Amino acid sequence: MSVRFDHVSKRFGDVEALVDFTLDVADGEFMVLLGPSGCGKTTALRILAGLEEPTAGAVTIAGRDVTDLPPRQRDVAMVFQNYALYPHMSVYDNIAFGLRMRRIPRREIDRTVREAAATLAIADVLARKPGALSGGQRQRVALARAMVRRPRAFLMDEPLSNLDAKLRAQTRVELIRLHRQLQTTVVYVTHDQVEAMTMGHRIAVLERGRLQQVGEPREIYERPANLFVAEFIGSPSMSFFRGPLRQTDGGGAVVDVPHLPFALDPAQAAAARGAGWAEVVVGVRPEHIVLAEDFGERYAAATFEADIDVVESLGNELHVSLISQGRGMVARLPAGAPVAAGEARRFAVARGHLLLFEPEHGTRLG
Amino acid sequence: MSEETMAGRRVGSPRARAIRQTVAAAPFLLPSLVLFAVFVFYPLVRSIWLGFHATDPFGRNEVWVGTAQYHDVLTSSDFRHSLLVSGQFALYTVIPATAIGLYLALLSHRRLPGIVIFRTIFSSTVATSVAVSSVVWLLMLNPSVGVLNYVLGKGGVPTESWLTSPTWALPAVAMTTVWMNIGFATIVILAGLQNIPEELYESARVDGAGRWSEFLHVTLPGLSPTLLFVSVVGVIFAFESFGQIQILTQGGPLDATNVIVYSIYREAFLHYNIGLASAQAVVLFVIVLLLTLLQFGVARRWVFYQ
Ligand SMILES: Nc1ncnc2c1ncn2[C@@H]1O[C@H](COP(=O)(O)OP(=O)(O)O)[C@@H](O)[C@H]1O
Ligand SMILES: [Mg+2]
Repeated sequence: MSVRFDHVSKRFGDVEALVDFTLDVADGEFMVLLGPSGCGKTTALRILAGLEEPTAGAVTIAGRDVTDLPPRQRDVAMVFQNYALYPHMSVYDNIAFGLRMRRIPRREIDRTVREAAATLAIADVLARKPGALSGGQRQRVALARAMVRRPRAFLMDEPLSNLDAKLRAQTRVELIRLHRQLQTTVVYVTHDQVEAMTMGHRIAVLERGRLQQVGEPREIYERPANLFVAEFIGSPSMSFFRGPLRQTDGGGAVVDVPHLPFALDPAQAAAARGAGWAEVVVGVRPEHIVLAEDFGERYAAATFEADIDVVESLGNELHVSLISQGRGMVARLPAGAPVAAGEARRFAVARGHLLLFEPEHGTRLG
Repeated sequence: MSEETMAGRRVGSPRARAIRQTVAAAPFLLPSLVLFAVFVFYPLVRSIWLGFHATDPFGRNEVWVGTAQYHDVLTSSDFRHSLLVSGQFALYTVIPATAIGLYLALLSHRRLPGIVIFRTIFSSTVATSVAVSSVVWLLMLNPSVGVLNYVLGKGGVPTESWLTSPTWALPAVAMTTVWMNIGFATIVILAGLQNIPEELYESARVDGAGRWSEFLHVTLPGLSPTLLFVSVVGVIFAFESFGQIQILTQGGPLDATNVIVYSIYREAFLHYNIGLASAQAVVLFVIVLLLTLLQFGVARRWVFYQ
C-alpha cells in the first residue's frame, strides 16, 4: 500500500529530529531512507509505525490518515535493528506471534509459519530459542516474523547492520528477491549507501532532520541536489574545488581555482552565467580523474600535476590519493594502472562530468 | 588451547593457574568469610551439634542423646502445628506481597513527571524496621482505638478484635508482614522491569498486541527470574519471621500464630530446652533449604533467564 509523510515534524526537547518531512512512497515501492547517524531516519520510521507521535504533520497509509492510530491498527510490520525477538519464545512462536495477536486460525498460522521458515531457510531451527541462533539466523527470524503478517508495508531499521560483511551482501540480495516476490511496500532505513544504491527503487537522503533529495539511485549519484548529497553518496567521496567564475572569450567560462582552472562546457558556462554566481564549487567524482597520458587533452576540463600519496588496491581497481598544490583528492583508476606512491604524475579531469554548486547554500547548478 | 602449548609457554597447568587465582582472591574474600564464619557457619554447626545433646538450661553439661531430640521434634504435634502455621503464614504473605509489589512496580515504572516520588513512597517500607512497623500496626489493629476498626465501623462492616481472635490473628499478622515486604518486592520488581528491553514492547505493539498481551507475553516472561527471586526470599522471610509475632501476638491466641521460629524461641528462652530448640532450628534449616531447591527446580523448567 502507498505511504505518505505529509509535512511531518518531530522535536525532542531542543532537538529537531525531523523537520517538515514530506515523502510519497508508492504501492509496492522499495524506498530507502538514507543519511548519516542522527539524521532522523529512525524517527521517521517510528512515526510511520505509530511508536512515536509527530509534533506536526500527518502520516497516511493506503490513503487513510493514520496519525492518531496506535501501532496495532496500522497493519505494518517492523524489523528492528537488534531484531527485538522475544527471547523466551521459540523461533516458531516468535514468527507466529503477530498472527496469534490477530486471532488467525491455528492451522493457517502453522501453514504460514512453516512456509515463511522454508523461504528463509530457518525451518530446521523452529524449535530453538533466539539465544541459540547465529546473527544471520536471528535476522531471518525477524524477517519471517514480519513477512507472515502480510502487512501493508514493511518498515526496516538498519536490518543488516549487525551482520558481517559477507552475510550482509548475501542478505541484501535475498531481500531484493524477497521484495520482488512479495511486492509489498518497503520503507528501509540505512546509513549504508551501498545498501541504498543496490536495494532502493528510490532513495530519500536526509540530513539533520531535513529531506535533501528523493530520487532513483542513479539520479542521486549523477545529479545530487546539493553539496551534502554529492559528498555523502559515492565512495570514495567526490573531491571539491572552490574558485571564482570567470568568463572567457568566445562565450566560454572557467572556474578559476588557483593552479587548477576548470574549463566549463558551453552549456554549463551559459547556465552559470544565467545563475549570476560569483564563486562556484566544482565537484569531481574519483572515476573522472584519469592519467593524462591516457587521455586526449581536448576531452579534459582540466589537467594538473599531482603527487601520489597512497595507492589502495581493491583487486579490480585502485583508489589513489593525490596531492596537488596542497589540495587532496582521490582518483579511481583501473587495476594495473602504472602508478606508485611517491611518484608525481599528470592527471586530467574528464570533460562533461563536472558538477557545479553554489558555495553558500550548496545547491547544484542545472 | 591444549595443555602442551601452555606448558611450552610456561603458563603452567590449569590447575596451577586455578590455585594462583584462589590465592590472589583470598585477601578479598577474607573479611566476608570471617563474618560468615562467626555469624553463620559457627552457629549452624553449633546448632547441629546441640541437636544431638541434651544440656542444662544454660547450654552446658552436654550429654550425647543421639537423634532422640530430632525424633521428638519430627513426631511432636506441636512442631507439626508450628510448621502448618508457618506454611500458612508464607502463603498469606508471599502471594499478596509479590502481587502488590508487581502492581505498584508496574504503576510506577511509566515515565511520568514526578513518578520518582511514587517510587520512593512505594518502596519506603523497606526502610522501616520490623519493630517500628509492628508497633504502628499494633495501634492500628487495636480493637477499641485502632483506625482499622474505626474505618470498618464507618463502612458498616462488623469489627473484630484482630489479634486476639484465633481465626483472625494469623491473617492480621500476615497483613502487617505483607505491608513490610511490599517495599522490597516493589524495588526488586522495578529493577527487573528496567531490564526488559523497550524494543520488545514496541515490537509486540507493532505486531498487534494490546496492553494485556504485552503484559502476558513480554512483561511476565521477562520478569520471571525476578518474581521467582522475590517469592523465594518471601518464603524465607516468612519462615524466619519473629519480630512481628513477638510484638503483636506472642504466638497466641491458642498458638494460632506460633510459627516455627517463635516456637524455637519459646523452647530455648522460656523453657530453656536448648537442645530441643536447636533440633527444631536444624529441621527448619533443612525445610527452608528444600523449599529453595524446589523453587529453583521449578525455575529451571518455567523461568526464563536471558
Ligand atoms: N527519544 C528521544 N529523545 C531525545 N532525542 C531523541 C530521541 N530519539 C531520537 N532523538 C534524537 O533525534 C535525532 C534523530 O535520531 P534518529 O532518528 O534516531 O537518527 P538516525 O536513526 O538517523 O540515526 C538525534 O539527534 C537523536 O539524538
Ligand atoms: Mg537509527
